[in-house]
Amino acid sequence: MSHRLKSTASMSAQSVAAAPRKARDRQDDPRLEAARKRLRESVGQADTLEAIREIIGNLLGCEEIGLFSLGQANEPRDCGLVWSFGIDPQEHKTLAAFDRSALERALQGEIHVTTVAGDGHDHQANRAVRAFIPIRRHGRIVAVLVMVRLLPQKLGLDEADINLVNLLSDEAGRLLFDGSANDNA
Amino acid sequence: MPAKKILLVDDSQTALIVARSILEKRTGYQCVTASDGLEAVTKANDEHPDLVLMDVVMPRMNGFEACKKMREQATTRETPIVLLTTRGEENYMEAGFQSGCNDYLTKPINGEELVRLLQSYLGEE
Repeated sequence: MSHRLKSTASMSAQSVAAAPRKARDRQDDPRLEAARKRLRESVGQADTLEAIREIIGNLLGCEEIGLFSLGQANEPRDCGLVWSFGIDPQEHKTLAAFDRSALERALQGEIHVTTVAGDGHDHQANRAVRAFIPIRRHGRIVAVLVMVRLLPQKLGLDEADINLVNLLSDEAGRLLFDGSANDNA
Repeated sequence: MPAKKILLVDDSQTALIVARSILEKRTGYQCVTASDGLEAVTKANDEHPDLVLMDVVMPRMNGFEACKKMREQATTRETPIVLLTTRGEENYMEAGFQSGCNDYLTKPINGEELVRLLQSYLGEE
């Protein structure tokens, strides 16, 4: 499954074209192999969340993550935070804490990477790269994973990174939300 | 000539798999692994690696402490140690060098950069 990737027009320019990659290329990327192996060998929901944290932290360069489950109405305010790492849960109770247009695109199934103004609290004062990843379960979007801010040394997501993001988008939902998936513990 | 041995230390299985895969595909290095600083100190003493590539934030014993311990052991006093972390701030890196590391790499790993740096320490440039 491939996803389109677009920048958010209202934010400063940062967009990565996600060209389809050949299967051979994908298999040659050791990061993608490792991520796939780690996800597929995860046991139970807690371990899958740990796998997602490891993949995003170690391979994509982000330590501020939120997973938001979709509500009935698919409205950002109905999408509640169900798991987070490195962010204040009180400040990110729902997806309404983020840019609405970016979210709407994510809810439509597009992986979105945006550059937003930094909060001025640290050395990354001028910018923050943020990504919204639709999480699918049996083809339906059931959650949105937000990489709230990439690490300062990580300036954006390249094509190989997008392959990793696509992997999370396609596989994490089944592992997280199918009660029986890999739940052998 | 025997293959150079690298001790990879990280509490993340994903990070270990990636580092091992990069090094085994692109070099002839033999990799051994440890999942925290305490295990790394013991394994470094037993395995006599040619280089240690070690994460900083780990349970039981972090990379800075493990680095100090390795510098106290006669068997690992001179072994090159490269610390690997998500944090690239200057004061954080300074703490790494004070603990005795030789070099620093920030995550996420860049395969080419990793191989180049390790080869430079192992005299294989």
